[in-house]
Amino acid sequence: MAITSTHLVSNWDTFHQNGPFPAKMVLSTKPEARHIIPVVIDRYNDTADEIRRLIGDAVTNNERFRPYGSTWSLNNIAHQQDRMHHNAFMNIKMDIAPADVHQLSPYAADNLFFFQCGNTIKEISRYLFDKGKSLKTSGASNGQTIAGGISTGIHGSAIDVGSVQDYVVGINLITGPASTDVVYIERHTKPALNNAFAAKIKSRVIRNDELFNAALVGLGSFGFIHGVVLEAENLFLLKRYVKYIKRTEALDLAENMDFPNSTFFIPSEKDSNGNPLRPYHFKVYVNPYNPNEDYVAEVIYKKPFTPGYPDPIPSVRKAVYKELPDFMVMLAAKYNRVIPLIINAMKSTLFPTLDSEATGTLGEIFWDSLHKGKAFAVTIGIDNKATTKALDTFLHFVNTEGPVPGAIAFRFVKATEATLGFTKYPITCILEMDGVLWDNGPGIISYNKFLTRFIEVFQQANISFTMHWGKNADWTFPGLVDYMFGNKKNEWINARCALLTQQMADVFSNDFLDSTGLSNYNTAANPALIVSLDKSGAVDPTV
Amino acid sequence: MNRYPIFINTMLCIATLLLTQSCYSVRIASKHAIPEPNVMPEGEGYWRDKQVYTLDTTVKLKILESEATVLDLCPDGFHSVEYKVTLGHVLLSGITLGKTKKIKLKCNCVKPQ
Ligand SMILES: Cc1cc2nc3c(=O)[nH]c(=O)nc-3n(C[C@H](O)[C@H](O)[C@H](O)COP(=O)(O)OP(=O)(O)OC[C@H]3O[C@@H](n4cnc5c(N)ncnc54)[C@H](O)[C@@H]3O)c2cc1C
Repeated sequence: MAITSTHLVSNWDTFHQNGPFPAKMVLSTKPEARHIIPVVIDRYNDTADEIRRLIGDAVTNNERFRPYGSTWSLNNIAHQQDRMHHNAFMNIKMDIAPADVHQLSPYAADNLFFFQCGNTIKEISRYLFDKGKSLKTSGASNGQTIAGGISTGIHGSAIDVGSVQDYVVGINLITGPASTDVVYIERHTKPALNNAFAAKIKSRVIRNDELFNAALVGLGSFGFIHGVVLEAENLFLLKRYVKYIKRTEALDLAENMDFPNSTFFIPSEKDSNGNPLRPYHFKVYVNPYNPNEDYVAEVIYKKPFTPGYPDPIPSVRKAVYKELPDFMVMLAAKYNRVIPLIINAMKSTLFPTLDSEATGTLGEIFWDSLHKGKAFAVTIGIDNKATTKALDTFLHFVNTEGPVPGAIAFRFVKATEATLGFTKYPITCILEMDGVLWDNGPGIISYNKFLTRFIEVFQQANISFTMHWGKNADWTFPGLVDYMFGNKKNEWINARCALLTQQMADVFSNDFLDSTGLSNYNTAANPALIVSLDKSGAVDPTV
Repeated sequence: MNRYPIFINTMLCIATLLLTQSCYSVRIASKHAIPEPNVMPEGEGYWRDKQVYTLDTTVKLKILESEATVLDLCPDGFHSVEYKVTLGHVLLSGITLGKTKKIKLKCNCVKPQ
């Protein structure tokens, strides 16, 4: 039997200390040992039974239940004050056999893998590496769990690829305590696994694009994600360059993505006609407090895998956020003029090393990051065509109402199909500020005011934007989700309400969902949303 | 009159500090190993998201014995190990001609697969 440990606590916090938040109970489940249940699918089903039992317990006690992964989200999206469930030990991995693949599937069996929710990106990359495979993309680091990562919509800067959830092709959800509450969902237009596989994991099948796309970025609220089916690809290498780039060149590339005709290029990365190649990844770092300084570009090209490259880890290792000594934080709170000096001093850790080159697999280039103290991260998604306007709005805001101790970067991601994916524009420019959490003081805008003003300033500038669900924002800002997603908000709510009973929808809600208005229950949600369809869109008689 | 005891106390404090403070500590980590997570983040810095185990023990080695000391910690392997050596440890090893050694380890195991 899978074993759950119970920890009675008074509060709970995130990796980057964005809390603490009050909490009562933390549960953590470990699958049974391999020598006790040697058959992997039996071990997986045994863990599902345990999770159903825990959900049942929460229901009996009239309490909410919230799973969490690596606590890497920098807000309260993973928090819930009754019962929280730590998933990171649930790391079963399964290959998919050709016999498990749906006959109309567009995916090759050897590219499909089944991962239990608590597998981290690093763990998945290692597992795939041993099979000669790779994830298609990841975030800038590798510590997130797969379920936690897709639930907020994690991304890197792979301009033609998309976010991590865009390569999830099936999700196994536990929506309540009954054995009938285990469902396997996927897109009807792109089925991945067959009914026989779903039966092996004791799941009801629902193939329905609308439901699947809503559950994909589910904010921890579509039930318990027990496992996901991921599409991988053959192992490849990435070659990373870090160079100064002029502001005009950076913004021109950001808005037009016209790499072959840009004046910024890497001399060794040209095609046979001498035209600059389109990179796999393009990210730009900006020091917000020095308008005369060139920006820093991180440009990465995709290459076929060949062994024998030099170890890239020493040059990609860095702390994503650097701890500031307490006296500096205090100084910053009193005299905000020191902040630009701090940012200059921190540049070596906030920005990658200039003129460096590194070659490695995706898992090596986007490697571990270390905890270096309390941190904040504000991330908005905008249409890449609006990059200049958004960047200038941001720079003006932090220079007139700040400064605050953070540096700016922008990355690019192809549109997601997830209903509430914040990478919703054809190419989303992710404009972000990462920095050190500061104490309130007379010389600096308060942290909470900064978050509220941020939204007001972008709305006043009439910029259409979304915000990263796992990062800092004034999530109580009235009408924020409507502004970001319009009618998609209701599509998401309706799909959730069609799948979950009203009682279970409340069990899987939390303060974050309440404050964003997403926990509203629509008793009239269309039941057709949970009907399994065949590839043509007709009701599937086989399930 | 009571200056002497104060002097002795101060010296004792300094000696204790010197003996227990680390001469040096080394942290090593495996490149590809997956760290065993803790249930909730704790403390600050490197260990915040890792399950920490500690070992503070004295081992007696027979002369010329060269096999490894088998520990109960991390049966499947270490993700990272911090090894601390204090002046006291060095002195103990010196006085006993290397037969008795103090081991002070802080470590994280690999995540069970
Ligand atoms: C150092 C660092 C670097 C980062 N880099 C990036 C980056 O490059 N790109 C990017 O997009 N983001 C980045 N982030 C943000 C972070 O990746 C996301 O917030 C991510 O969602 C965190 O994953 P997690 O496993 O820690 O999940 P958590 O933060 O623990 O949880 C996130 C959400 O997932 C839900 N959840 C977790 N497990 C389950 C489950 N089994 N079933 C249902 N719901 C579940 C939780 O309830 C919560 O709503 C970074 C954060 C840090 C701290």
